[in-house]
Amino acid sequence: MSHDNDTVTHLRLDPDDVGQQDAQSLLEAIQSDLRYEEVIHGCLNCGVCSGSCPSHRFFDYSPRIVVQTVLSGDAEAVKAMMDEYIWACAQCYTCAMRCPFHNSPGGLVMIMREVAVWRGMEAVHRLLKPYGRVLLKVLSIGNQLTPDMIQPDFFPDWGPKIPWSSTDLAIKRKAIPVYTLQVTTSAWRVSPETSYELYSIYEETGVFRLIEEIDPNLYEVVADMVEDLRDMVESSR
Amino acid sequence: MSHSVIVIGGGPAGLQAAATLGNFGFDVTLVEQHDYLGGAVAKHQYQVLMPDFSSGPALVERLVGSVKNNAHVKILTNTTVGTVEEVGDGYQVQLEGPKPQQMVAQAVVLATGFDHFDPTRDGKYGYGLFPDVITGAELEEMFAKGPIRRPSNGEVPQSVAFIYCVGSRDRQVGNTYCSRVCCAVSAKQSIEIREQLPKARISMFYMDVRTYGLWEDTLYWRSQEESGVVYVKGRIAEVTQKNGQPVLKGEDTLVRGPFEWPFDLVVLAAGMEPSQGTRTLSQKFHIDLEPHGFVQQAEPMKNASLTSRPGVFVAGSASGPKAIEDAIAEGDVASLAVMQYLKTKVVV
Ligand SMILES: Cc1cc2nc3c(=O)[nH]c(=O)nc-3n(C[C@H](O)[C@H](O)[C@H](O)COP(=O)(O)OP(=O)(O)OC[C@H]3O[C@@H](n4cnc5c(N)ncnc54)[C@H](O)[C@@H]3O)c2cc1C
Ligand code: SF4
Ligand code: SF4
Ligand code: SF4
Repeated sequence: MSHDNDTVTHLRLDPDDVGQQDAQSLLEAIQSDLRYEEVIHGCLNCGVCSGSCPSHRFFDYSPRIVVQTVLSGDAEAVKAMMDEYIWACAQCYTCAMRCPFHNSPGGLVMIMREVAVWRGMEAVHRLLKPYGRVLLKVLSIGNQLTPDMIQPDFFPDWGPKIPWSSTDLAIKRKAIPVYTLQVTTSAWRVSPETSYELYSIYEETGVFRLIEEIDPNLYEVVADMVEDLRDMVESSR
Repeated sequence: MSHSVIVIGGGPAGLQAAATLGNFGFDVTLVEQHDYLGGAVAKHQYQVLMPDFSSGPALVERLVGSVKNNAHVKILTNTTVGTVEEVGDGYQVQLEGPKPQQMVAQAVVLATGFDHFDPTRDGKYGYGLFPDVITGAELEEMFAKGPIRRPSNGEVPQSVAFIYCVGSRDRQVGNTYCSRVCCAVSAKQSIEIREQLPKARISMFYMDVRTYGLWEDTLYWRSQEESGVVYVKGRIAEVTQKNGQPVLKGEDTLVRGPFEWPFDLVVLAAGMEPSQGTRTLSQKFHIDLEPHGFVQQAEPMKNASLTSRPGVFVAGSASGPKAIEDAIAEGDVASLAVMQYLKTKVVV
C-alpha cells in the first residue's frame, strides 16, 4: 500500500506520528486537539467529577487527577497515565454532566486514548488484543458487531439466553423485514464499492499504517483482504 | 422645598436607606411587596446573625422602628411598582397595592434584594425528594420554631452535613459567582447546632472555605476549636438515600478518596440570586445589569450605589451577594448619593 502524505496535512492526527512516543510530543498532541478547549476550561479541584465517577469508586482512578495532571504540564506524568491509568474510565460522561466548570474529564480521556492509540503506545497493544475480531470487521466493512459474531464462546458473560440468539441466524434475520438486514456477516449489506472507498480513507488517514504498527499479524490479513477486494472491484468497472 | 424619594424593597438595605433619607428630611416612600418588613431576615426568621451572633428579631425591630417612627417616611406594604415613566425632574411611578396611587420621585433607591437559589433546579442534591435534605434558610426557620429535628421522623439527628456552594460557583446551573456569605453562615449554623446537639457528628463538605476577612478565626476556626466541627475538602457529587437516610457521595480530595456517607440531616448552603423584583425593576427603570444578572454598579470606585442611570440608585444584595452589615452600610451609601444628586441641604 502506498502512503500519500500530501493529502493528510490538515488532519489532527498525522500518520507520520505513528510510533512517536516522546512525552512532550504526546502532551502537545493532546493540547492541540480541536476538542481540547471544549473539554478543559480550567479546574476547581473540587472532586465532583471523581465523586460521581463509577470507576473512581472501584479502581485507582480519578478523573480529577487526570485533569489536574494534564493541566500541570508534567509531560512524563501524563505519558505514564496514558499507559494504564486512563483506561479505567468507562466513558459514561457523568463527570461532564456534573462538573461545575463545564469540563468534560471523560472527553479529555477520550482525546488521550486516541493519541495513545495513534502513537501505538504499549498499553494499546495490550488493550486491543481481545478486540481482534471487532477490528477486522471495522476494517473490512465498517461494521463493528455483526450477527455471526454473537457466539457463546466469545461472550461467556452474556448469560444463558444468548446461545439461543446465535442459532438459525439466517432464518431469524429473514424475520426482520428490511432488505439490508438479511445478511448475517454484516449488520447491513455492504457493497464492495463501499469497502473500496473505506479502504481509501483508511489508507489516506494512516489507519492502515497504525494497524501495521500495533498488530502486524492483523495487518497481514487486512492487506490481503484489501488487495483482493481492489482487484475484484477494479476488474468489474 | 422637599424632594420626594422612593425606596423600593423593605429589607435591611431599604430600611436603612429609608430611615437615613427620612432623617435627612426627604419625603420618603418605602415600598415593600410583602405584608411585613425586614426582607430575608424576617422572612426566614433568622434568630442569630452571622458574624456577631446578635439577634435577628432585634435587628428587624430596630430597623422597622427607625422607619415607623420617622415622620418623613411613608410605608406602603403589600405594594409593588407598576408602570414607570420618566418625567421632567424624575420618575412617575404607578404603585399597585391596597391603595393604588401615582407619585413622582426625584430619586429612586432599588433595594430589591436577592432570592435563595432553589435547589430543586439541581437534581443531584435530592432536595424535594428526600425529606432530611433542607436548605440553610429552612434551618434558620427550624431554629426559630424549636429544637432541631429530622423532618422525616421527628427524631434528634445524630449526624449533620453541610453542603457548600449549592447553586453557586457552578456553570451547570448558570451561576458562576460565589455567594459570599454561605460559608460563614454555615459555620455560624454549625456552632448553633453544636449547642443543641453535644454529641452529633457535624461535617462540612466544601470546595474552598471563604470566611473572608475577620470571619476566618471567629467562625471557621471557632467552629472547629470550640464546636468540634469537621471540614472535608470535596464538593458533593450526588445525594442518594438508603435506609431512610440521605447518603452523600463524593471524593475527599485531600485525604480519603471516594466516599458514600450517610447523615441524619443534610443542610444545603444554597446561594443568592438576583430577586425577581431586582430583575423586573431594573427593566422598568432601564438600568444595566452586570453579567450575573445583578444591578450593575456604574462607578463602584466613586460610590457603590450609582447605577447606569442618574437618579436611580441601588443598595444591598440587589447589586450582588453580600452580608447584612454590608447591605445596611449601602443603605447609607445610597442615601448619601441621593443627597448629593439632589444637591439639597440636610434638614435636621
Ligand atoms: C441562608 C442565609 C442566611 C443568611 N444569614 C445571614 C447572617 O446571619 N448574617 C448576614 O450578615 N447575612 C446573612 N445572609 C445574607 C442576608 O440575608 C442579606 O445580606 C440581606 O438580607 C440583604 O438585605 P437586602 O435588603 O439587600 O435584601 P433582602 O433582605 O432580600 O430584602 C429585599 C426586600 O425587597 C423586597 N422586594 C423585592 N422586590 C420587590 C418589588 N418588586 N417591590 C417591592 N418590594 C420588593 C423583598 O420583598 C424584600 O423584603 C444570609 C443569607 C442566606 C442565604
Ligand atoms: S466518563 Fe470516565 S471519568 Fe467521567 S465519570 Fe464516566 S468513567 Fe468517570
Ligand atoms: S468536576 Fe470539574 S472542576 Fe471539579 S475537579 Fe473535576 S474537572 Fe475539576
Ligand atoms: S461563600 Fe462559600 S459556600 Fe457560598 S458560594 Fe462562596 S465558597 Fe461557596
